[in-house]
Amino acid sequence: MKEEDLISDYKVQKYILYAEKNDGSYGTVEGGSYIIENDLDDFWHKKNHLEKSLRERLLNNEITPIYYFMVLEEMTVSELASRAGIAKCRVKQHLKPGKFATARVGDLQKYAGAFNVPVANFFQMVLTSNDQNSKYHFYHQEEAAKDRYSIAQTATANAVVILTKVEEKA
Amino acid sequence: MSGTQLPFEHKMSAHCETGTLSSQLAFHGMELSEALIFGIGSGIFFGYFNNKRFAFPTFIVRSKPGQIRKNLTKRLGIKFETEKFKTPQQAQEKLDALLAKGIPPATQVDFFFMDYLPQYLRVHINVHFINVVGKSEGGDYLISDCYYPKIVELAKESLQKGRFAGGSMAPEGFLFYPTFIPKEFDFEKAVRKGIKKACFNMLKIPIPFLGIKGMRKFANHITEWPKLAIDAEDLSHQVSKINILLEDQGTGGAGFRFMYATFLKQAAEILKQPELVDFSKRMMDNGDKWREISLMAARMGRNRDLSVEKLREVGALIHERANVEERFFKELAKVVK
Repeated sequence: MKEEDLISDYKVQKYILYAEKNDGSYGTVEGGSYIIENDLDDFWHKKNHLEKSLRERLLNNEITPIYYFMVLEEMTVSELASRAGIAKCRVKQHLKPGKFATARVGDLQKYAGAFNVPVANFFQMVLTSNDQNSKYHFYHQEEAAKDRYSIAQTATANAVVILTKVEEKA
Repeated sequence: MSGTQLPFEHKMSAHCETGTLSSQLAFHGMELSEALIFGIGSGIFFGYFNNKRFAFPTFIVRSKPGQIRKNLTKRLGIKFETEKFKTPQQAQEKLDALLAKGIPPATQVDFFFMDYLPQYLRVHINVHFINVVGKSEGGDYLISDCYYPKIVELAKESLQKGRFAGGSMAPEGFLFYPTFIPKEFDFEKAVRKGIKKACFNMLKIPIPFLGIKGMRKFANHITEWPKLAIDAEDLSHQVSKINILLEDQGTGGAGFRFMYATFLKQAAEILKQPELVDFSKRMMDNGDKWREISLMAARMGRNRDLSVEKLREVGALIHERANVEERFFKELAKVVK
């Protein structure tokens, strides 16, 4: 790669790359990423499309909340089992809508830790006015800025209770 | 509690593991460039994974995390103190004790919990390395992450979660710092060994999805991807990810090929073998071709141009890279003998 072929007018993110410099030597140069500079909106679009199709299935009781988050975070059953510290066969049970109700609160807390979401979000979808799951990790930032309300969730001393506050933006 | 920050020089770099090693060594008074660390540590590699441990087939372009550090110990005699922990409390106590002693350790974390990074980068990968260089007044930690332009504060809960994320290659609070750096080095021997081992890894590991064989497997298997994806949008995301894995995940561009070309140019001087300059140029050209593949993948993902014929075209280009790299490493192995 030649230094002049790099995206030098990066706006979103700076990367250190290796290239043939203008003087012919090889070494580090600063540049931007092709995908991030050009296709970031498409990236969000695809992530949100996946979220929406999973949400639809979740609301129709075809999948469980655990499945919803597992697919969104691109985890497999064994990865999730290891991250949450729950046996693989139990995780498989919790992915079936008929068996999800057998999950203990303690299990749900472990899942919540692995997905880094409050336990309460397994039982509710906090949607914004433009129909997005406001608490999904890959929530579109620019869309969020357009929203009239901000939704803040803060942890409390009680591990299973979360404070969800909806406030009109100033 | 008052904050402390050790006099750690923050430096951005292309890759987290080599970058962290480079700045750790610099803190302890040894200047060693990232490319040289990468080359001596035999970082260049390829592997294609299509098994239950991954939600979708994926590939790697570098050796196993931690291997570069181990190779530095073997080849240059630099000793590192390394430690894993059973509980987060022990891990934090040790970290605090080290910082109080004036040692800024490097630690392994899950990328996901690095709150300062933009959201689109934060995925669950357990093999990110950062330097912890101090504490803020509020008890949070100061992090020197070579993907971030400056030293940044990270909440102690986030660092804790990142250090103790489970899953494959779980960090278990792993931390390391150099304890002994020899006064003199035999760079020639180290570079020669690093290149030889890289050639071995690429050509001779008898596992069908590692090295050049992995490249061929990838090239053949990519036409099956439409069957594995959830829907067309997911397939598009997975194809775009080829670009992300090759260019964006701290590879310095083209899956470390440009970084290796830079190393080979330095190796030519160290080994006093001018023919390696030619190899370095060839590796640069090879990297350019890899970059063409990744740009093609990005455009295919963007335009939803995902027919099997198009994927087969990508496969053919990857086959071509496999042939070129096979010849390259075979010849390189002969030159450094």
